[in-house]
Amino acid sequence: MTAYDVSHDQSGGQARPRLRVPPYAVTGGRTRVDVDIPFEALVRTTERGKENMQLIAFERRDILKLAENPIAVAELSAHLRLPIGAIRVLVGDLSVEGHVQTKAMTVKADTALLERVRDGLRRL
Amino acid sequence: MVSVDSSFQSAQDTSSESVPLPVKIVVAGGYAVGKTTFVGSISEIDPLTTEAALTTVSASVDNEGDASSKTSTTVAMDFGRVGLGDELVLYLFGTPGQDRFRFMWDELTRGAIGAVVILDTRRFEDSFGAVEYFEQAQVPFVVAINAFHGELHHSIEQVREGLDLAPDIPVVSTDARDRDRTKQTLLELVEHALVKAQS
Repeated sequence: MTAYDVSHDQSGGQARPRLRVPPYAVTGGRTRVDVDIPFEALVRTTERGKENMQLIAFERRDILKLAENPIAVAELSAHLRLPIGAIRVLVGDLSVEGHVQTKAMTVKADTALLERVRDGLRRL
Repeated sequence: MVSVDSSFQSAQDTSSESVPLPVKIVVAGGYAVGKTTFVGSISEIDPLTTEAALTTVSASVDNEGDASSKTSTTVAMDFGRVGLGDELVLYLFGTPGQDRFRFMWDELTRGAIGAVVILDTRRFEDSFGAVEYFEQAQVPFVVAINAFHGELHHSIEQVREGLDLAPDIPVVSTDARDRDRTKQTLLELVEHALVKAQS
């Protein structure tokens, strides 16, 4: 497969049950988070995000509401009328906190995935 | 290859439905060539617009005097979405038309399946930049001649020659307004990407 959960720790250690921090956040900090999340990355609010929604305010809460069903970073930007860079920072922070998960392609598509895309298009 | 992590559904997240995998195709071409029409003809949502604010980069490009003040240009991109079953979602991103936003393309093409370069044969020099970019970046692409009103002002061979395309790059005619022609064009691209991935 050619994808991974960008909010998942890939250091090879044990899965962290509470909060999985993306590797770039551990080493690079917040400024890296905002550039690393692709425009099409799908964001979904986690159970933890739903539980904490009342404690979270403003745009961060708007994101958690919109992401109850998976929604792309670019769609969040369009719906909330915020530049995509701002959405990336907010989503990056929410991801580090365990309030959302993100999912995107991070490597080139392999033949298996391309075949699935082709077959999906043919069925349209 | 990076593998999907089986602990993606962890104890912290007990919801049963999984997140589909987003895939992306870039739609490029000159100004007003029909990119958004192409995206809109197949998208299940009306094309949306997202804006990226440019600060540091635009400072070097746009600033003529004071280098210390940051300009805040925004660049708009239209995009659409097509669900491909339960597990995949295809996003189609139109590139910003103007050449000075070319650097955005690095961002847009990252992780993309490939690109469709839409061409208006009356102004096909407008597409030189896109063709050159995708060749250099080794992004699989097809050239799609947008035949307005069914007219082709140049033959496919003339286009191929005019753009100095490598023989393996598909050139197809399309109609950006027509869902089925758009779908066929996207299929051409995916087939081409498959050939590239296998070689």
